Amino acid sequence: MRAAIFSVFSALLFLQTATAQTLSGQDYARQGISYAREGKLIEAEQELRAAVNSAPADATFRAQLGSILGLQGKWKDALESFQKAVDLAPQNLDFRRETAAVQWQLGLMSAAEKNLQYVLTKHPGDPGGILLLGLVKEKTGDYGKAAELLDSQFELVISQPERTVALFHSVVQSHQQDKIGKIVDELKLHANDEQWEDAISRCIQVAAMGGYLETARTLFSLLPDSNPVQAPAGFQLAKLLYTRSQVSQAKELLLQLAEHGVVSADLQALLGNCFESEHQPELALEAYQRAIQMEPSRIDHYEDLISLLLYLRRTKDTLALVKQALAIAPNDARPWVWKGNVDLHRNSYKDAMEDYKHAAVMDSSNPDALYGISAAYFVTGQTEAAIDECKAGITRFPNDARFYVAYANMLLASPDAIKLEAQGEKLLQKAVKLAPQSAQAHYLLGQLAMQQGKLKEAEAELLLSVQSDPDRSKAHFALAGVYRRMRRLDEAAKEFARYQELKQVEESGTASGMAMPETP
Amino acid sequence: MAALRQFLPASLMEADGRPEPIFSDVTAEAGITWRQFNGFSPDRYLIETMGGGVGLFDFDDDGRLDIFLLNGGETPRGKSATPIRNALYRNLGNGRFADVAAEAGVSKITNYGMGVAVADFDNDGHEDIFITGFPNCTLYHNNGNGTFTDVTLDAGLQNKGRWSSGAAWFDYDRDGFLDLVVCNYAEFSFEGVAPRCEYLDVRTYCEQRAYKGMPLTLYRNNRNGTFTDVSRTSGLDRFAGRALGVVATDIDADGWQDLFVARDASPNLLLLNKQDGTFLDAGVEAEVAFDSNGNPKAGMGVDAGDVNGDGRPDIVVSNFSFEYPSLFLNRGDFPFEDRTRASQLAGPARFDVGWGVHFLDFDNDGLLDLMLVNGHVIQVIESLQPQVKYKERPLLLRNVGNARFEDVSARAGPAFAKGYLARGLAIGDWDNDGAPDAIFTSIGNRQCCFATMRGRRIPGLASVSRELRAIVMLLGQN
Repeated sequence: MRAAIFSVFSALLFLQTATAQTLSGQDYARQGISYAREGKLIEAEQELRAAVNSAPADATFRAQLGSILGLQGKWKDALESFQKAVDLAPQNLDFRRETAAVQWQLGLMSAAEKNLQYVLTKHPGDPGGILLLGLVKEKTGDYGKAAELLDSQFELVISQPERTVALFHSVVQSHQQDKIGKIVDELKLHANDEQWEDAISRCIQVAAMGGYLETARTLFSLLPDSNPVQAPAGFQLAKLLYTRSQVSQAKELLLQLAEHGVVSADLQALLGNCFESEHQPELALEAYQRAIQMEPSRIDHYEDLISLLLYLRRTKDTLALVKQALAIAPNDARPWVWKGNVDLHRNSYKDAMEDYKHAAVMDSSNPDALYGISAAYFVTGQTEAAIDECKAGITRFPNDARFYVAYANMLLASPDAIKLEAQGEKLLQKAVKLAPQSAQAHYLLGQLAMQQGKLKEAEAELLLSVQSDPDRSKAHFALAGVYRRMRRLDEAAKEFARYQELKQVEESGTASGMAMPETP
Repeated sequence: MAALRQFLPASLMEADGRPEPIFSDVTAEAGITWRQFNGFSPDRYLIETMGGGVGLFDFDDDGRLDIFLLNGGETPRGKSATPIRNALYRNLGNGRFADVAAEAGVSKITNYGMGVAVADFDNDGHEDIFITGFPNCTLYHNNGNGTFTDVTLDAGLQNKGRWSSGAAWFDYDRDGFLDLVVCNYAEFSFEGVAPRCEYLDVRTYCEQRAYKGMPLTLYRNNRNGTFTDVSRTSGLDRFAGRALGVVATDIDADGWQDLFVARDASPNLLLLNKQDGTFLDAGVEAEVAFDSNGNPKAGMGVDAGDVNGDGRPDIVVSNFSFEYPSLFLNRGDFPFEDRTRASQLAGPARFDVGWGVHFLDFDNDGLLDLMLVNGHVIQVIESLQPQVKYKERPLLLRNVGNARFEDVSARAGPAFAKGYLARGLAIGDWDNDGAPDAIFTSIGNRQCCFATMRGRRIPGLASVSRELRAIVMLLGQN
């Protein structure tokens, strides 16, 4: 951040020297500025303080002192000095602008904007004022305005990495896709410029988090291999690749980063996700374990490993890990929920119920606990109680689609499902409004439509389900049924083959005790 | 009570207006004391949970149905304190039965017994007995003089090394001689390391998927007392899976017998007879292979019958708890209609692990009713799922028309109020009163291990036993 302001301060220093008014103060000031030019900022500060002491009413000395303090990162002192300068010369637009720059630096956006609005009212085309206001707008989240202001000063912006990042961020956040290309072109010019590597890295992260995969990829290619700045950018890019189902590329990128010495628990956790998606559970387990080893106190890293172990039905290992998590965070509701999940899988329903209830008491804002209680009732055949918990979940967490889906699932799985179809459908419609990506909600809607003979509707819902979760065997199975009924036999055969493939993977776990009902 | 009365046919009411039980438990008065032994052991071999085959047939041609009860067997660490044997109860015609198995030559345990299929395979006018089990099958030829001869080897029906379960006699090539399809459950051995599974650190039975399913076997009757294994040429050896129950019926009304195979955690099969000695599986197209989520159910028992009076055979399959028994209506085209919920079959059976299942018209209204016998396989189930019982009650469901059923178990009789580890079920009119009777077995040498029930006498009814015996199904239904 310091670099973004440096040139503004420097200009102020050089401009102001000619207007010093007190002889002794001017001497101090000249000396101070001379030191500043040599990079001797402490000495420069001393001289300028002496100048201010000798002429306390001189706004210029105060502004110069403010600049020197700013160059040293002493932002609070700098602001104090600038504010006094503004108090002494309220109409000086340079002082106002510089004050705003320091206020921006200190995160005092509202005050900064006030000063900048003053500057721009008096001098509407003030490039520095427009630039700074753009930076302020970027910080306050008014990305559209920020993009407009910064883009209007494009040359000024692209001369500095920090400003370029701000413009890029604003453009991405305000979805002004048409402006991305020219920024990327400018960044390409700095492909081998060390001073720009950090900015490029941050732009990659911005692009990746904004979902601009190709942009992120292009920018990532500008970074030299094995550069440390690759790590955060590469991680974000990998994360985007993973969420876009380009799992293999995400995995390769993560492995490449790891090979270049990037040590990161988040990276290992994401690598585990990739392996899991590629149905390589043993490699996934190892990656998750590495994530935990790297940051054993970070409780969220346990979740993936626990759920994978559960999926693999390695309940003893899972239980041991849950106990480890509980030892680390005994007052965190999450490990108790995980313990509930393990107990549910090992058919220890009473324990599961206690775990979930304990978690619910510990953190009443944790919907997972309530959801778990509902699941525990459901798998023990106590459907009415399970439905009551779902109803409570809907009341307390009205935006959590899972409760609507689970409730609907229970109604539609009941012996009286035919009478309850309309109610179930209503719940599912609500769920897809809350979570348009809910694969299970779309799946159940597809099933309902199929049962009602609405094949087009069924196809549409099931396709949405598959889109959200392509590895869900049952959605492919249902889709095959729909196509068969539509006499689209080639598509039916294709979907059925996909179902068989996925089903085989789903059933590849070790055998356990006799089958129990599927959890909601 | 008044409300109840108006739904009951007058013939089912006592003089005082109280509903008379539909079935009476006559086990004791009939003199049936035999018990099934399943070799229950700490090793928890899955085979211990199955078996219990029973057959109702007239072995001595005296016009009265007799009872054949197949025993299970011992396991390496599940030994019986007394010798175990099969029973052949001869119907004495006075309400009592006498065990003549030893004299008849069928008492000997030839395998770990599973199911019984009875039919006259050599067209000599006498019904023969086929027994499935592990590690071989047995064919007893009825000599027509009250005795049987083990002709397994000569007939070529050993089915050696396999764990067979259900079987059905049917004439697949329409040559006038009954052929035989045998369900093989899974790869199995008492030797070596058995799959080991635990619940809460307690050894229990592994789920079905721990056992690799086996293909079906089809034997063609050579019309000379021998059979040829045609599993390969018929294509049946392609269908590997954990098959338990099978019923032969003409699904597509082409005059050729087809097969429905109920399989345990493997997709059910609907094998259409292609009239050229081969079969085509239409289970997926008919939507009878899986549940709606693409999961194969735990199919155990199966029966075929026309429940909606449209002239086409429909199918009922018993399944695991919470899976509900499946009722598939044959509409003359694919897919079949899954009528399970609309038939109101799901509600009464939701907690049950179903085994023997049979259509019968107990109230003589021309509509096929349904009987299911149940019993769980996990001893600790009640502590895991409070609403599920280990010993489960049988169900009697009355067809009220339009393929909808009413649960009449509560007034079906005392035997329907008790819990059993029931497995095999057979229906037939053993007292020739025109009303169908039922017998089911319960495994595990437990008290009240099996019960016999007698249908209420309904004047004017013709015997249905012959018709029913044409259908051969899971675990000893004849």
